[in-house]
Amino acid sequence: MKGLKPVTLAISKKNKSFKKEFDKKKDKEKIKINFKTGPWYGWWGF
Amino acid sequence: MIYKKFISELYQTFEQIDIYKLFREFHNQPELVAEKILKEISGEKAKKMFREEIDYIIENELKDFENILSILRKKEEIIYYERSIAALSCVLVFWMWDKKIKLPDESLSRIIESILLGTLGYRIIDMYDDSGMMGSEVIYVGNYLIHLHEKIVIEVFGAEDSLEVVNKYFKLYAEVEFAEKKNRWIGCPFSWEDPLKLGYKAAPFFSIMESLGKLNGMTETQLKNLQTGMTAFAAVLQMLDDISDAKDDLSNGIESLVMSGFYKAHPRGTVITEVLVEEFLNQEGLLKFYETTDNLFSISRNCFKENKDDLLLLCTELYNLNFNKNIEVT
Repeated sequence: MKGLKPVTLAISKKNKSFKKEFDKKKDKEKIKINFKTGPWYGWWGF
Repeated sequence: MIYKKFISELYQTFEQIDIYKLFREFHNQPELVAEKILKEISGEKAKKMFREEIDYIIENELKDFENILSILRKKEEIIYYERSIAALSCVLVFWMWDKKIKLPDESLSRIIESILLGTLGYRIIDMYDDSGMMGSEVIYVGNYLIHLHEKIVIEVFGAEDSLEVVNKYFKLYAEVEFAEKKNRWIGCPFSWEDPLKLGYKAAPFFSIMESLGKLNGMTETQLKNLQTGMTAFAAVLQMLDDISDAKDDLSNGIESLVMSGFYKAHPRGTVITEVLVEEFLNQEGLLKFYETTDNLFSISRNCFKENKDDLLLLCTELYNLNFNKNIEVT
């Protein structure tokens, strides 16, 4: 499989920017987690 | 074995996929790429073949337990696990392909058989313990499947290389399960300071990864990174599973980390409702949950980065992305 690294990097950027946004808002706004969207085990990234 | 043919097909598919091309085709939306890959590696086919493989193993090697296994395998919880083992096995085969770990087809096929037997065995014991729906005779079926799983790992990798590894991870698993069951209706035995321990529930699977790592010539540091990275990843899965199952777990005497402190506020006998659970999961609790899970992702990510393990790193990032999609700050 070709191209693992650039794809990983692109996803990593998305995750980092989410975290940045989250940290900015976390103390001022309401956190909601859709934890009923599982089951989580069935999804191993692939 | 039916699955053996499928593995070689998987290898051929891995060789052909250009994930970056897919990524561009799907306008940089990684979740769609993952979906496409799953389709390419025939996830559905894997699941179907797995079920057929289990039928074959039961018919040929577990004849004495055929009736009880047939009843158990009709239960939703087991069907679900059988399906997820198929996905997990695809990732394992993929990881071996990426690491260029060479094993004879027969051995690889047996390793997958051992994952399948082990997962089924642990799940049966877990279900007996948690649901109370089954008779105690199922413990012996579960234990026997776990024994078979360990026997295969030791046969494939050799006693000298794998006996200690199998024992190490079984001990970790036994310790956390013991602590959890001992504290039933009392409180959570885990702490926010050491959430990694949650990952030990999946520890028996790590014995296969570590044995494969040893076979691949990984150094002690790389093996340690692999263990920590996998434990953190498994702890994430456990955190997510715990928050999804909070009501059922609490009704069953299990106070998971995310719900720690619940029994102090609501002693045994309280009728546990969704509303009560949601009230308990206040802003502070949800923030702690998010930050702990995010930190576990970071541990996993750093370990796999250090090991230059592109595939496990990709799995971590994809799972993190999937997790983020379920968090809203409004």
